[in-house]
Amino acid sequence: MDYQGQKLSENLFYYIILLFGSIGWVYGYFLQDFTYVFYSWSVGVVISIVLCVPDWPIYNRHPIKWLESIPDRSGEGGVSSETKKSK
Amino acid sequence: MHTVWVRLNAVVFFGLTVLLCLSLLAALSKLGHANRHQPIIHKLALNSMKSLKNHGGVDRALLSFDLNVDMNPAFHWNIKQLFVYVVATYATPTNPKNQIVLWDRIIENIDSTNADGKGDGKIINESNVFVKYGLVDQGAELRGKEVELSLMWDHMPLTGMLYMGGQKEGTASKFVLPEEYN
Repeated sequence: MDYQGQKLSENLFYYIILLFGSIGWVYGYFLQDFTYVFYSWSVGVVISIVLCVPDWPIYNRHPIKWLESIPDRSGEGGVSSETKKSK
Repeated sequence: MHTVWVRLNAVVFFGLTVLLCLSLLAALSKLGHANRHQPIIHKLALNSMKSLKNHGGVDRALLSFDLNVDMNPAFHWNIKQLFVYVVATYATPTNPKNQIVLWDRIIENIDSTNADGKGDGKIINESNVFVKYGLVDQGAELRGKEVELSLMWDHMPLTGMLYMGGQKEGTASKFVLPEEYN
């Protein structure tokens, strides 16, 4: 999961859980039964776990661009030729 | 947020924090409910005296009472159950205020109907209820005393503090215990 994907995943579960929780709370308030709040909240958490926890392809659309690797120079002279000379 | 376990941890504990906030909001939404809604006590009075005896130096009275009360107004969505109890209050020369629990019952919020499907579990309408616990004095001073029977209840909420409720002062019924043991 890339950096943009991590941000997206975190925002997603914030809003999903808050949305399900608050809708459930209002529904439960009018029916005067807190179990509705709990059920609605549980649905929100389960959806969040399915959507936001696994590394879905949608979270990998901004791969990190690494710099080109610096060529390895140890084989062509430098240190090795120095050691040869000293012998 | 870079591994599955960190994300799972974040989702679960954010969820639990939200649930805590929702519970607290539910508790706040019913602040002062007990001041606005009082259970309706139709009747709480002595039915008959069964006995007044002295056991090993202390007086014990046994009696039965009639109780008709609608506890529905005390319930709301943040109440799990009520602990309802009948209290006998009297004064003796030794102790100016005695309060003895004679009978109790737990009424749960899910008791909307009785087991037989009839009636309402939050309404107690029973006559000639024998006390669960005897009216036992600390000494031998029960004879001829005036006793007040009143109803009290504890609210046990889902979230928040337990708080008590009781019959309004001056509305409780009174009776006088016999002058002699019987």
